[in-house]
Amino acid sequence: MYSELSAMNNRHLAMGLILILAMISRGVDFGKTPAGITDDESSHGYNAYSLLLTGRDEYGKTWPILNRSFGTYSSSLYTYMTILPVKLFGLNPVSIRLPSLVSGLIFVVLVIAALGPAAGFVVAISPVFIFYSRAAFETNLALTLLFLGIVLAVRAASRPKMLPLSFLFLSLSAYAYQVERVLSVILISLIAVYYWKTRKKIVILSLLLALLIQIPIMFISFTPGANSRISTLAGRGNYPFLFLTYFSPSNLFSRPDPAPRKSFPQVSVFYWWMIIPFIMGIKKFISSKSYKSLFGKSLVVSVIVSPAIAAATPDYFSTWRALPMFLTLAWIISMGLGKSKMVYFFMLLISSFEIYSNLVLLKHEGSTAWGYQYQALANFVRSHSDETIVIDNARSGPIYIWLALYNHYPPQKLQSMVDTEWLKDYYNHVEFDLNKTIDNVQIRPIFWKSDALTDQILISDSLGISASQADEHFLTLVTIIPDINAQPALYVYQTHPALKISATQRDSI
Amino acid sequence: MKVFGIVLALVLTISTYLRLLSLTNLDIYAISVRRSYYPPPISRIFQNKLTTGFYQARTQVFSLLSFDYVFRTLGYE
Repeated sequence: MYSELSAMNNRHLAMGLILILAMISRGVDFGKTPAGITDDESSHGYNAYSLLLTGRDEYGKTWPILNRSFGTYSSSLYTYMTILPVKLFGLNPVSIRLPSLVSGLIFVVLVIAALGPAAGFVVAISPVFIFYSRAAFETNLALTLLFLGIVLAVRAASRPKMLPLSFLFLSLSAYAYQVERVLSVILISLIAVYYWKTRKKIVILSLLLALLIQIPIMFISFTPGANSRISTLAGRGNYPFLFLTYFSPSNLFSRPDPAPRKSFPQVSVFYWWMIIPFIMGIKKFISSKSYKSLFGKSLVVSVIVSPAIAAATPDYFSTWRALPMFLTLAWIISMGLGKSKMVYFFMLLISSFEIYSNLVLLKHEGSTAWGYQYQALANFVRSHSDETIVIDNARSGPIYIWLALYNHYPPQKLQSMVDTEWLKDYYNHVEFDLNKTIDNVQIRPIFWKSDALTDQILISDSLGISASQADEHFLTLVTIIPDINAQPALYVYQTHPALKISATQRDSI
Repeated sequence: MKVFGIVLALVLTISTYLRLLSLTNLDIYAISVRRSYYPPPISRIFQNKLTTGFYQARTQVFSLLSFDYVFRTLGYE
């Protein structure tokens, strides 16, 4: 009995240490690394703010099932989960990213409880799970809900009342991210078949509950909005090749995700040295027949279905779409780790070194990609509210959302730009115009023929307004908006129409 | 599996050594720029020729394990 107590204490100690490790890797410099906030994150935050204040999103839609966002109709659950942090802590990067952080920590706890401390340790230190917990990623929330659903489904073997809860969370995951819309249905079907013979009544009840929860999303499934991502992305790549990239050792253990806002700069999904326990773990996974349990079957389904969906898009190795598969791979890695404490100690040491270094590089080298410069831009716009400002958007995303976020635009201001007839057809508007005019600010490309002849401020990067163009059009530099390394990111110029006109007249004589 | 681990370690070590000998001026410049991101007392630990050489070696060795490489070798795109 004493040895049992001792083992239990050791287990609890391990769990506590792993959780602390997860909190440190995900929480250090939280909100500031990555530096800046992306347009998608800003959309979540601002729409949460808008819903909090008015019960409507930025377009005036009451409690949408999908957020129109920028015509991409993103899943809405993350936005709703952001409402409470925004209410408590204000509209800022920390409150916007908080649901992802909390999801990531809950996920670690679930993995420890369901798959053991070794798997929890791997998830706590793996770059992919750390990264997606540090910023507002719907896929991270979706993964936590999905895995919670799987855990509850397994527990239902001894406690049948867990099954409806399981289906509840699996269905909710469909509202968190697009991949889970398909994956949750497959898993629900798998679990229903698994329990059909032994727990028929409760399976039927659970299925009805799942159907009820999924009715809203099924209702809009055939609208252009609900399919906007699939219709714009699907079928544009070499599918077999793209599918296999998700299993390529180089992509899993060495090469970072090629998308600049989807990875640490110098580490991959897992650390390079994890390939060794991974190969050892495959052998154990097969020999122990772990894949035959409900857990195993569910995770095998995840490792096949999520890359199968991700490969339908032309993006080469999109980790955010395939996130569920990495849990299975982390589990396999944990099987190959063994029990030596020294091994775990060295892994902790090496991973700490790599993660710290990559956090620093992510903060400094990714700041422009993460929109760091837009906070200073918003400050400039706020302090020049009596001047006409043109912000060049030829190479940027929807700049208006950063201005709305940082300057806390009243939601009614953006909502008033949409008419009620347009709103009736909310899920059918996949077109999106990046050009916007809000008060004194025009967000559009620069037209030199007219813009140089109007008294206004022009803002662009060095490609939009070069030094020679500034000379040619008699622009004077007002200020430079830097990135986090004090390197120029945006240039702010004042036009001088009188000088330009007289120069033009001189040239024409 | 131990054999695989030893072979991998050996290949990475040799490759890192070769990379160290062939670092370019641009690589050296990148190291100095990146050092400025870290607190001065520890910047040299994280950014130096060894870490840069190892990163390049690792990328090169693992690229041989990539399915893209296999695809290209087999003549598929």
